[in-house]
Amino acid sequence: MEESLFMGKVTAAMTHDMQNVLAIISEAAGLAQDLLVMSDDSVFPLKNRLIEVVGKIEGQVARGSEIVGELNRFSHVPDDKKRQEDMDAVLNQTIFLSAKLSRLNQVTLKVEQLEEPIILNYNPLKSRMLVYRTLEFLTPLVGKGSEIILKPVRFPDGKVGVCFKIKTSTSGKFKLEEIVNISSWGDLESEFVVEGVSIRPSENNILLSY
Amino acid sequence: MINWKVLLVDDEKDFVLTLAERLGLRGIEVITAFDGEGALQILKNCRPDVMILDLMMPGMSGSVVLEKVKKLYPGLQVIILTGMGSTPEGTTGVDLCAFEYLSKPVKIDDLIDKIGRAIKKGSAVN
Repeated sequence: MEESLFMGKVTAAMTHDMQNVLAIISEAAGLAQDLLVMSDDSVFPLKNRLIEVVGKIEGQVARGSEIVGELNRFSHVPDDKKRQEDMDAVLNQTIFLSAKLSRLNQVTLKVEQLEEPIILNYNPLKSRMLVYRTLEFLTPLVGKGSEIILKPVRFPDGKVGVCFKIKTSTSGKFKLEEIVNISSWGDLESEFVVEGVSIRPSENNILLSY
Repeated sequence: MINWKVLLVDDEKDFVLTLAERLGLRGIEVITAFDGEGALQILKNCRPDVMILDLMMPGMSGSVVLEKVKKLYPGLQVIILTGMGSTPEGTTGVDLCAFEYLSKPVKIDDLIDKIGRAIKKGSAVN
């Protein structure tokens, strides 16, 4: 079995167990809330405070469940290496998986919706990896409060790719034209060449072409 | 008092018992089973309005239970409630004969709403 398939299979099984754990926490919190609501205020003077606390537990269960659900979908990505995919789905999932990068660097990540879908015919795991790598490179550079908008594009040569539109914050000192002088940019370019894709700056954008 | 009878089948005992208690507080009678074999045994003597069924269980899987239930008791509506994150389409056609496919964790009000709809459909079929 290939490593990525093994990793995906094990992760999928673990996420299933995690959803069960979250479901038990959710039901237990729900039951506590039911019992509190039914109880007399004189018996439980802190009833409303406790209901509030249980509400927080439920909120975090919902958050955890969303993360675990997305991780489960991601774990199935290596199942089919020749899958044709809507670029929009690839970008939205990768952005979700990049939430930590976005939060740590205080950069907002968005996907620009297209009316007509652009279909990508590329290894689904690698397509996400290359978008993630680009974001990993860009998010620390663009500055706090900046925005990176990802847009699926079809290039004149028929290839499909992603345009990373960078909107720097007023306090940001990022200059896109200087990106090529950063040593890690060269590493990124070389890494992408090995995968048979290209990455280049163009006006105010970074273009990734599969 | 709602007067509904639900068979809840899941190998996660804590989940089953807690959810059963919560449904009970809302006036719903709940019969519980912790595996597929146990559920089929219960159905020999008792006819719930709706069955809530997990998919991944040791022994007989939920999809096999569903298949058997649909053969033996075609009017019984089954709601799949599972921690499996994949889409219903990815679960060997389960979506074709289950009334609804829900992912854990589920909000109690959503579950009760689905139970009510399933009972309505079951009454129309029977």
